[in-house]
Amino acid sequence: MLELYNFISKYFTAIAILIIILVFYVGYVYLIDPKLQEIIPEIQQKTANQENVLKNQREKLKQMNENLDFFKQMSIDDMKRPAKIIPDKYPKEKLLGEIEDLILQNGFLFSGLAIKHDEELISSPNIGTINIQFVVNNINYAGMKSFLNTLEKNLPLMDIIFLNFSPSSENLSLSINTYYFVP
Amino acid sequence: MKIFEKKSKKPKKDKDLASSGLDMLDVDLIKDERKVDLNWGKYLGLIFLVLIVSSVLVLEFYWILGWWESQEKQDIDKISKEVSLLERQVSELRGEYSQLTNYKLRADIANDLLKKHPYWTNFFRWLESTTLSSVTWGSFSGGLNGEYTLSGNTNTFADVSWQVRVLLDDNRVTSVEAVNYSGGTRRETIEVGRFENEDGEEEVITENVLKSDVSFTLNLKINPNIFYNH
Repeated sequence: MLELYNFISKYFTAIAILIIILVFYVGYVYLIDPKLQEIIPEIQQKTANQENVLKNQREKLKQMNENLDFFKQMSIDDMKRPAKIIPDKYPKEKLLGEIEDLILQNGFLFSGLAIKHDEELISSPNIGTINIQFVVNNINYAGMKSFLNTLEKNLPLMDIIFLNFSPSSENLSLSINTYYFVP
Repeated sequence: MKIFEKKSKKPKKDKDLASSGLDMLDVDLIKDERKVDLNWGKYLGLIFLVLIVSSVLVLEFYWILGWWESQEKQDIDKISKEVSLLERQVSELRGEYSQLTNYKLRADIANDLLKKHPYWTNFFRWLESTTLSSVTWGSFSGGLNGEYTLSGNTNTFADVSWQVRVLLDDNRVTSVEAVNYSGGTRRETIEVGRFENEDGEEEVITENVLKSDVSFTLNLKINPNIFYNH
């Protein structure tokens, strides 16, 4: 007993340090480390996720504001132009009336004016196509060129997809695609 | 600290020794000798104190971790609130923005359609520039695939050959073939002038000329890019 006492009294400082290290070690292994293992990945993941969401939302808002500013600065003509090129679907008789006007304004006659197809294209879900076929009579080569030029510049857009011209009979057969917007 | 031996027991009969003059023997020969004081309580107390202090330090660190965790969660909450605020702003703009989205979608489609819009006047301008002055086209038929059939007329078979060569020399033409030739020569009387004779009657001066006429069909293949403005 006396020897133990002597040992303790002699090495008390070392024993105290050893006890501190032991307590720290046990505390670290059973208390601190499990806590760190629990919270660090969770915090890192949540922080990263939220910061990512925040960054995306900021960019989205910034982009929206920039686009809206640009949109508000546009002239009315520019804003209406896409709708002129590809309007909403409108009555077919109005479309045929427009073609009739184009032909008559150029001093030609017409026959067989009819809508052949009216469908929404599979290639683009927002485009509907109307195919119109007709024959322009009493038309020579110069008249044909002038009429083609008128059609090419017309709005709504008209694509001539087939053409048959016979100068001897003064006939021009046309197949035209025109388009409408499907929201 | 020295360890001392215990004092030897006093003789049972001290009085006897005193009386006998031997009491002088009962003297502490090692003056510094003290009783060993085994102060276990002091060391146990110190060890207990060390245990308590170190445990408190560990617990304090554990508590700091918890505090740090709550601080981090507060920061995450702040970010979440900011995200919610931005989402609210985005949803407030969404109504106004849907018009823009609709416009942009339509504008993109319109732009795409304009890029694919065929200009037949381009084609006929090109055809005029590659047609010999002696050749006239009787009919034309075709679509946007670049394959066409033209019926033509000219004076000689040599002109047909020249026309084919001119077209072949153009880099837009991928193939050209003249088929269904037919033609020949004939005598034709043409009016060359009029005059009044002595009787005052009008007379016509005619001349017999040799005329040739060749008709042909041209199968033409060209690059369809000619229709599009780039």
